Amino acid sequence: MDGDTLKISQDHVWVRLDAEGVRLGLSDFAAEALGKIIYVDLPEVGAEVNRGGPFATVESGKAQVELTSPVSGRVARVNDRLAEEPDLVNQDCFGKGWLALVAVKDPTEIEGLMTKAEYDLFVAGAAEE
Amino acid sequence: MFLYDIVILGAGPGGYVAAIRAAQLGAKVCIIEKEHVGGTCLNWGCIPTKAMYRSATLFEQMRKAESFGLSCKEPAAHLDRIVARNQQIVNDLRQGVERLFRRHKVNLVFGTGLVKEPGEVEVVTREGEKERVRGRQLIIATGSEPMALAILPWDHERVFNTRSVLELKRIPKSLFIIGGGVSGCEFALVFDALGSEIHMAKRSKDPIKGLDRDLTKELVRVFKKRRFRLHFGDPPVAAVQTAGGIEVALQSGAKVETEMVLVTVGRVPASAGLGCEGIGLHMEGGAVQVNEHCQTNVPGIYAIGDVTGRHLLAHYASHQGLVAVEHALGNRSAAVDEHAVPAAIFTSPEIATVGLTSQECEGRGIGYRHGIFPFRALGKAQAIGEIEGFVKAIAATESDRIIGMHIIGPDASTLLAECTLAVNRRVTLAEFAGTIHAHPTLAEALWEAVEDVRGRSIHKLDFGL
Repeated sequence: MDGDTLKISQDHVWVRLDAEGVRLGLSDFAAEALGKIIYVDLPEVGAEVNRGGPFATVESGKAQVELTSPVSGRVARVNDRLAEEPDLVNQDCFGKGWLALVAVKDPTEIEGLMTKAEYDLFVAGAAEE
Repeated sequence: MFLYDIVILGAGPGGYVAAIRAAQLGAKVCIIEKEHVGGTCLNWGCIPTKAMYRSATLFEQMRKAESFGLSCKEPAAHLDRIVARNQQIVNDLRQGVERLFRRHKVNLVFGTGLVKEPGEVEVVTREGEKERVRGRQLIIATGSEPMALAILPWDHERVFNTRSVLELKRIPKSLFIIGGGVSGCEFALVFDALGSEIHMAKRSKDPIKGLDRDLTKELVRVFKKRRFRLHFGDPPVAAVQTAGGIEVALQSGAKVETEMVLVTVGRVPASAGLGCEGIGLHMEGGAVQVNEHCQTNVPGIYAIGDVTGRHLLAHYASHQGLVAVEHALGNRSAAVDEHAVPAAIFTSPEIATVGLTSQECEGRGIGYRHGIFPFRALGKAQAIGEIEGFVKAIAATESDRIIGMHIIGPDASTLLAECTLAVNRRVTLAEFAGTIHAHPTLAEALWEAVEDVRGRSIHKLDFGL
């Protein structure tokens, strides 16, 4: 895991900056909490997403959760494999289970997010509350 | 000539209910029907579509049988048998209404009525004879008809309306539903379940006008999950026949080719040829204008149901019918109260709604709080394998009274009755929550949603997400 570029929001969405833009996905903690994902509603390619606004919905037997984007930009690609295999999110949330790729306006938006280590502490703290 | 107390034009759910109630109240009643008793609802609307919906959803469940530990080898849908079943149900129910007329001594005349003057209708009977029917009071209940779309005229071979689609000979490989709305969305689910590839387009962005925004969002999600091709906000501008069906061009420039097209752009009041203008009835856009007593501007003439252009709902027409006859027969306080008009939509999952939506509260400046409870958090929903959807409860901040209940989920149409009573009787959150709801039932979701308005839902879990 290239832990260096991976950042995670308090809303349990991870981001990773790569050559194509910012890739978004669901955190391991959230995927575990939701259980087997049965459907993922992804944004349209070309749609605008806004930081703090919804960009996708994931659904499991337990819950249906609207995910909040930590970045603003235009959706360049989405993970089409999830249409047939939504539980890739459970199997490999940081890899094959990615959700969307966004061409961001301001790459510095991701700077304030947590590292994986910080996020693990954050969710451990939240679990104890 | 014999003088009836009440003469009713049209034996749909407005007219036939009015006729029976008037007879119960002691009136001598004549009802004139040009086609079949039961109107659009019984013959080409609510009833046959629900019979078809049942076949379609059962077929879908058969294909899910494995997930319930059952085997159901090679389920198949036979449209001819589905249509024959619909027809049988419709015929039986029609006979039932005619039996009710006989029982209550309502005189049923088959023919087309023309209002000559208040209290006098000229009827051309089915046999082609002219008859004059006179009554002290007249109720117009002629209903509505499917609205046509100029670029896609019905040929009932490739382009259908909500009536002719009920007589389809085969399940289309692909179906383009133009206009959406309640009927469009219901047929989309039926034909999707039967195996058609579904495309939908309409002028507006919302599949169904007037739904609470959270339900609209969920319905669109359900459609996307079923892989419907949605072109909401992109109306058709042209159409041509092709070898395989019809190609429709949309405003955006996109082209969609399907085997068949279903036009569901709306309905228009069936007021033409009735003689409304001749007697000076106040009309707007073909709709006969009425007050809360269902009186028109012409003394002695009432109008009820779709022809009044208000809520195009069978039960609203029936309610207006009850009010109209009560008022016509002397109860001058009988009036329609519109604050709790329920509506059930047979998508899958179903939608059911009563009272104000979030947008309506905001538009009218009413302070409100709302609660939402997802069905998947209920044991019963998990047990029956129907976990999609939620209940949304809306209460006025000032009074804590429940002013809106909106359901998308399993058996929503049945759950609606309690919600309608709550909104109609202006029940408070505490009164609703103080009512024991049986376990394990889907109605627990209503209780939970009402409790969620005050942040007190027991089973709602947000997973910290």
